[in-house]
Amino acid sequence: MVERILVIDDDQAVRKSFVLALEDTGYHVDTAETGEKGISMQKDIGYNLIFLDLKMPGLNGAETLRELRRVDEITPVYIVTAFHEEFLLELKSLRDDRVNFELLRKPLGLNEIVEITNAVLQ
Amino acid sequence: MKKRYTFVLYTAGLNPDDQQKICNLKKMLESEFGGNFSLDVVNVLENPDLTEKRRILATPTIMREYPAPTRKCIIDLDNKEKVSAKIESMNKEKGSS
Repeated sequence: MVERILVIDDDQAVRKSFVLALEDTGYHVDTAETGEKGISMQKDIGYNLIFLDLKMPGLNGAETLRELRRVDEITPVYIVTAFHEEFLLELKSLRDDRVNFELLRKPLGLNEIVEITNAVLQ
Repeated sequence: MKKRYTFVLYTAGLNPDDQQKICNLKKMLESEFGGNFSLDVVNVLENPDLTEKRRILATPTIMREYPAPTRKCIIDLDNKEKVSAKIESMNKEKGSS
């Protein structure tokens, strides 16, 4: 069964980089440019791994994650972040509220995207 | 007496529910190294600068700091078999990559 990955990021270049990095790996990759769309896709399709940007217009990454966790507490969600101070409080708040997530440091190279994906799914 | 093997686990913070995972990890390390190891747990949300200094790509990552050379790998704390296999492989690797 093919593992399905969802990339939620408002930056098209980032979405493309994930698709490019994973295109020859055998994983199926879908993308969403907004948190709302990502939530809808997770509800309708279901994914084995989600990469989630933190800073997005509309529903931001933290809010998106809270909504995702309302419907699914199991799927690994990696928040992609540059660890800027302005976002740390929000991440700590998620943790304090027992919202599960892991972190992925950006910027990311193509090899690093493959490395983390294989580490989680294999 | 200096510990022969020192490990650091980098996490995105731990919930009380995660403490059992840390206990399991310690048991696996004990199984591989006996009592001759130490394990520190670092919350990267409290120490974000370490992610760059130590080149931590993702959480959770376990890093063997001693003996040299350092080794690190991303692990799935929910999967005991995978964690055990990775610890074994870190122990077997010799030289630099």
